Amino acid sequence: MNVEIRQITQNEQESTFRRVEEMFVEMYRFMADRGLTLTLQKGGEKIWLKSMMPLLGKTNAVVVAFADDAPVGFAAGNIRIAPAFLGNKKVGHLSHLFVDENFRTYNLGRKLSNQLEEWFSQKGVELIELDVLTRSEDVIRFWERGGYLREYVKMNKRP
Amino acid sequence: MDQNISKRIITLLENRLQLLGIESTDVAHDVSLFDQGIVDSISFMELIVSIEDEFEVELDFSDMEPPEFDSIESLSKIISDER
Repeated sequence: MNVEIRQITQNEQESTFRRVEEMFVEMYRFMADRGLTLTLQKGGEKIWLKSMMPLLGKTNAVVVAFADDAPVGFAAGNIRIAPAFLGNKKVGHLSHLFVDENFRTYNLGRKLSNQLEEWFSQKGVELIELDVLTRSEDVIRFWERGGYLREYVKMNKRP
Repeated sequence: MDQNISKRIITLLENRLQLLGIESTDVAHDVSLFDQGIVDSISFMELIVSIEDEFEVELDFSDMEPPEFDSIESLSKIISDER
């Protein structure tokens, strides 16, 4: 199996974009099963990809793992600017990471996140942050093995 | 869409664009500024205050849904309607 990990551009084949959208849906289905409160809306994957396109590679990035030229995983992230009262620091937000369940023994998750982190470094971020569902202890351990530290707990309730 | 209004809104975002390291020509006018990562809730409110000063209008989004006011295009339309 020939594996390639690379950042995608606005000039990718339509089939690559469609497969990324499909994996986006699968990821949100996975998270809904683990307690995500706000679930993906119908067509939400298309809204997300459309929002990424104008600034793809500039303030956001999508890295895709290809196995024999077929997308089998992706990582996405964007640059955020902290508020002025926090110094307007540049922060990398790693928003999504997903690998097709049939390809989860090839360490693709780590390779995808490493490449995205490299992009964040090139963009001069001072911190990389991400959110993990509290019921996903296995995912939390994955990120801890990658050097991430727990900081605070996000809570919510319905009014 | 009033191009002049849109250009002036983009100018008000100059500081944000500089912090993000992007050009005004990179900003899509028909996509949510939040979704593009150009503003967050605090900087969006700052933008609204700047818009109200710049165009001498009062903006009230309390009866609107985000797609009606969160892009350059939708803001431009609101400002145009208010004047």
